[in-house]
Amino acid sequence: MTATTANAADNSGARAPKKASYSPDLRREIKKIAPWDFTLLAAVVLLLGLGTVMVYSATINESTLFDGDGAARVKTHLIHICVGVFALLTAMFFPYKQLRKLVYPALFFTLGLLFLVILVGTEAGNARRWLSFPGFNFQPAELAKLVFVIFLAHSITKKGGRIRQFTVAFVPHFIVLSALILMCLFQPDFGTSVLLVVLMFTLLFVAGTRVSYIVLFVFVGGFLAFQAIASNDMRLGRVLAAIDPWAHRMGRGYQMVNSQIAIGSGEWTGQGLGFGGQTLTGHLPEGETDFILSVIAEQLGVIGVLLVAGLFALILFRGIRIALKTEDAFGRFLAFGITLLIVLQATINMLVAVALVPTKGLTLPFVSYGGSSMLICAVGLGILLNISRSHGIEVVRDLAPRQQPPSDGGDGGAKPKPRKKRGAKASPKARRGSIFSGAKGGQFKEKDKRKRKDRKKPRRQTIDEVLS
Amino acid sequence: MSRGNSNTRASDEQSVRSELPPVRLNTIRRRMLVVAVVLAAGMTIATGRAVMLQTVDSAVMKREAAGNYVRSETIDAWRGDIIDRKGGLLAVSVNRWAVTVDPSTIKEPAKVAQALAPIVGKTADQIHERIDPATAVPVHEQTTQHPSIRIARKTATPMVKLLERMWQTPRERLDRRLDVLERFMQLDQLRDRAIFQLVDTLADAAERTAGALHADVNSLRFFPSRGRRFAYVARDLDDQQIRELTREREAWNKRCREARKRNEACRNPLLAVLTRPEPRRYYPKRESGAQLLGLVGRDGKGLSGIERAMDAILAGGQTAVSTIRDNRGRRIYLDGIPDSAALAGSNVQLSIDLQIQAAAEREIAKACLSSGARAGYAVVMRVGTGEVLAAANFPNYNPNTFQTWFADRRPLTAERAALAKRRDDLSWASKWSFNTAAFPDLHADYERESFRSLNEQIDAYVEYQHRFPNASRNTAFLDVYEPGSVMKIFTAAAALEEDAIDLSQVFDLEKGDWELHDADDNVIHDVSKMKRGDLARIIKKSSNIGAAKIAFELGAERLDAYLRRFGFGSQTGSGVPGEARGLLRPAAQWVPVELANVSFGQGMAATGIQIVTALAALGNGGTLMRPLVVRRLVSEDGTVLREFEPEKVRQVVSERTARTVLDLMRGVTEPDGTGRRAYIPGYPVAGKTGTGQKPHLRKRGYSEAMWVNTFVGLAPADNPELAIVILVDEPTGKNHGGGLIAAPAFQKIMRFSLDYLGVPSPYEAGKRQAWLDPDVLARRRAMPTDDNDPLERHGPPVDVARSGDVPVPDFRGMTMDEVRQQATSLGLLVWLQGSGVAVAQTIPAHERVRVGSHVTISFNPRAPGVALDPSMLDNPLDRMPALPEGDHPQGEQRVVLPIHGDAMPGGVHPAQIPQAPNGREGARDGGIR
Repeated sequence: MTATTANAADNSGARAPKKASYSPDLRREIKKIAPWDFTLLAAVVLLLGLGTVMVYSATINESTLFDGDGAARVKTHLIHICVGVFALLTAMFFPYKQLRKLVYPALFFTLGLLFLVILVGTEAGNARRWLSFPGFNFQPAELAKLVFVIFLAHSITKKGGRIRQFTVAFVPHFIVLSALILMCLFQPDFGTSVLLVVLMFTLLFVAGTRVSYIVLFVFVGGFLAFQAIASNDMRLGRVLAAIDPWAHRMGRGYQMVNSQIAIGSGEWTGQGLGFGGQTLTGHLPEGETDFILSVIAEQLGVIGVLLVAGLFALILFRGIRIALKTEDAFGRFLAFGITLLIVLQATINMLVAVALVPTKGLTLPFVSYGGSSMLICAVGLGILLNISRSHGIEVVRDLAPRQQPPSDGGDGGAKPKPRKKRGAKASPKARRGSIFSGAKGGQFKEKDKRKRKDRKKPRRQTIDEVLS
Repeated sequence: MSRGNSNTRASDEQSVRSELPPVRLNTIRRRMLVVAVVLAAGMTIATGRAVMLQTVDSAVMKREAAGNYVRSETIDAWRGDIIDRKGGLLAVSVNRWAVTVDPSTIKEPAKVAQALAPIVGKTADQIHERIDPATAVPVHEQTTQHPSIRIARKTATPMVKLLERMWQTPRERLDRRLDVLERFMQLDQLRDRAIFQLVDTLADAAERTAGALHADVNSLRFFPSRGRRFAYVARDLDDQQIRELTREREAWNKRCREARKRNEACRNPLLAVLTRPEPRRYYPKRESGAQLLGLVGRDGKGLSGIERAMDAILAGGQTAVSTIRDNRGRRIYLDGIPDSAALAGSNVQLSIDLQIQAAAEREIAKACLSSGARAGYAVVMRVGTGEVLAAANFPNYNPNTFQTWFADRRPLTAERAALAKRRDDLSWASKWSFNTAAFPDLHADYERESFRSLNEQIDAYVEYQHRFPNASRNTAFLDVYEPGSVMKIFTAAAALEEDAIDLSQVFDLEKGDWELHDADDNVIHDVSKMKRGDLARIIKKSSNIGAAKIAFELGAERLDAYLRRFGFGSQTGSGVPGEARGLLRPAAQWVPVELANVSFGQGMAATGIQIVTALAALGNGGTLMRPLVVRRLVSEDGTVLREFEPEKVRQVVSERTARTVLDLMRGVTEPDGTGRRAYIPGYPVAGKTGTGQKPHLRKRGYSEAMWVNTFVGLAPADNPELAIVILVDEPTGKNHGGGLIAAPAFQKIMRFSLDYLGVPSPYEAGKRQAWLDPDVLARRRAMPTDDNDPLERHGPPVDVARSGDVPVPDFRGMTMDEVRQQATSLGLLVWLQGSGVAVAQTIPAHERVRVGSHVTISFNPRAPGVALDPSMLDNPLDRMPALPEGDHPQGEQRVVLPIHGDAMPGGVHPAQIPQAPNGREGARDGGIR
């Protein structure tokens, strides 16, 4: 792709001035220079497909019994996916920089929802985690994860170099974190709390906070965590069961043992789709949510596990790549945060499934059954895709000829060079204006037109049109 | 990638309003990569672990998985039926259902109980009690034993107390304390101040604990069945109820589906309720043969009787099938559903005949009820084969509702439980003896009082058990009684077989009281007091003294050996489980009086089946047969799998002796015999009455008030078809005796059975009424007879062709013509001496001789109908001329005997026949005092 662009640039350098009436097909240009990260999208689509099949396989028995229709759960799951795809598309085309404006309202909105959960939440199992709406339930803790990531990205970007300071790095984030965790622990939702803490420290670490501070926190927090675990015999039991689940196989270790059995009995190629003994006989609990990896492993064997792990590795790779490539600090941290959110959940879920970590109640993103998780992950992915493209869009915009060449040394040459003070000086609004007013006419149009003159109906589009 | 590095830094730098330089982009990127690597490592670990499980550990995991859901189950065969000899159903299996739950999965027990109550027909409270998970929380895990905890205890000292506080939850402590409290409450010693204070303290502790739990102390319950994963809600439900349950469950499902659409929480309360088929045993004939058939437990195992003896055959084989079971207990048969026909157990056909069984039950019940007896039995046996045709016990019960019956006997169970509990408490209290030192007197009083009441309770228990016998017990096979005088026939058979006595031998009967002059000065008494008599008379009048004298002639060893050969003292091998061996001490241990006692049925004990088997041996020409209860095994489609053939055990006595004893026993049912009430018109009956004493319940010696009345008999006596034993335990009426109470029952059962089986009468139809009908006979004897009229003939006609071995008739009292006619019909040759009526004969009556034997008969010139001079009988040998030896080809007729007065025909009116006072006879006074 880079080679093509360079070629085009070389060619245009020689012949562009000759044709003044050239109007570039911007959609095409952007596709070439700033494509959607289709690899990432493909990985997710594969996971969604696999998830659908596996949810069907894991729920068919219970659904037949409870709902009278074996496909009842998978139908709901498909509805979740539809909603998720819609949310994904929306987030894809929603410029992520706008999110900075929404950070604080979203944060307060989330806190409000979490508070509502405490007041009027729906109970299931031993926890009160859901808000009931007519037609669907929603789990605000899932929203809290994404909002917290956006908030951290925004806040870290804002802090800049001061992040190295202890007070600046920890105090404001800690306040927000405490509020969220407090709300989560009321539910109680230990898994989300741990995830939020890990997210915060990881992002602060990435942002450049001193490692010694984090180490200090880990020690203090570790001690507190020990106290917290030892003071509640449910948590203690979980930890003890996680240490040796086989000794508690009829009690707290039941899920872990049966998950291991399910995975292990899959062998190389699995028992075949729809043939998981542990799943069908109901010995594997929560097969469609927490332990869907076990279902996959049992039915598809090593192949299935490697497929899932590979797809998540791909998501990690693409996500980190987007983060590294993004020039915008907010975009970088946001991309990293969302990647982290998705992959960390996946990792913890997988570690739980193989019984290396106590049961947390975290789902496998894009695979597990669960509307809130699906929606939030889809939104996160949409944002990630948006970020992935924004970098290229800026390149295109910078390359695009302008009516008025930028005053600060706009080169307009073949070498794409982002403007220096764009992100720093201009307000978001001003920047948006500059983005969208950037590509209007210019030498590239001529070049492109000339190059593809056999085109039947050249379309002229502004970059605004393309992006909207 | 390095392109925008410096620019971004610069732009960030400008945006930051601080003095600190922005973080270098490289640092950020490096740290991102570090995090990414860590994440990737985490995923690699997880994946690696999963792959390891799937490859290295897969064998173990597959085994575990198979252990979770693949089951090798055994399917029990459908239990076979029990049928009678004609094919009538006695016991069948019917399909019933049990409703069960796993209490640990029940979320809302009240709701579940409410939903189940109308279906299974119990109150919601009853069901709630059974399924409440509060009484069945999972077994507490032994967290204290975990190695990590032990390490934590050693290392993290400050944590130890916290951890310990967690493990000893208030609930457990409360349970422990309340348990102690409960133990105390069971002692009736709350008035003891010290104990009361202790209880008070504990109760206070309970209150405080309850307060800490925010619970009402009265609502706290004990959890005897904590940790259950299984509970029955109801059993023995029919298909209709299960259909209703299924319908109700579907209705709930539908309701919940709609509720969930409206986004409401809804849990189907019937979803956790499981059903399973539990075949139940049903006895269509209710009480008929219930004790012999026995019972089947809920688990399908035979508990008693034939159900237990034939359990393996009835239950059939088990088929091993491999299934997949889900966690709701639903299964998939991996090899298909097994064929039910191949699984069925075999049917068992008994030798019992339902008609005879019913008659026997009716008659024994009538006999027991009319005499106020506590129990009784009747056993009917077919002589030639040893088949048991009926085994009736009284009291009876309905095995279909044996739970109800058991509930009626609950007082006994309660008594027993109370006793056990009391014993426990006493031992517990003495073990603790917490305040013996402080209150020595009190403690002693307490102990004394406790043990006194304990003894009273034991007495009450014994009394109760005696008064209300276990109706489910097959008394005829399982319980032993001292049979009383019926044993005299076996003594006689032994003595005759051993030639210890002969029929002509006359015994001094000591006028009813015989002092033995042994160490204990025992005296043997007779009810009918007689001066002397021969064997026929001893049997007929049931003389204890006579039997004892015969036994002394015979000797202990020989009597013991013969009784054992008759089957006493060992199991008969009928196959009924738990059959008693009876009591018969070895002869070497007998003291002299014991020999006398055993000869008339005391000091030994036998079961009904032993007596009837020995009796049938006499009827069967001395061959003892093994009693047959199970006749054959029949498969489901009717083919006979196995036939149990009659089995000869041993030849006990010779055929000749056996027939002789039968002939002697015929005298018992004659008008002047003790068993005259057993007389059946048209059939000769051989019988023997018995009246045995019972030992005291709680002290040594025999009771004056408790009796066992028995009657044994065979008919038709000349070629016996059936043998019956009747026993009536403790008739309470003023008049009793084997002849009075047991004999009528025998008569009715025997008469019915003979008619039912179509046993031909040995007499021609026209002669039936004439023979031995007491009234007719009495009248005839008082009148001159016309010998030409067969209807008026006194003696029984004997079919010469039937046997080459005929009994010598009692010629006494006959005229010469009569004697000649009788002898001709039997094929005997007679020498006649003197004139008048016959007074003596060389071969005693009832002796069996070959056809063509010579009998010499002495006549005395007296008119018929005039009683003989008793003095004439005093010294018979003087009066009889010696006969030439050569006249007796067999050489077995040695003496001509005088005849007992009461047996003399002629002027003796039946009303003058001496009878036992109060209708009693037998062994009443013969016991050891």
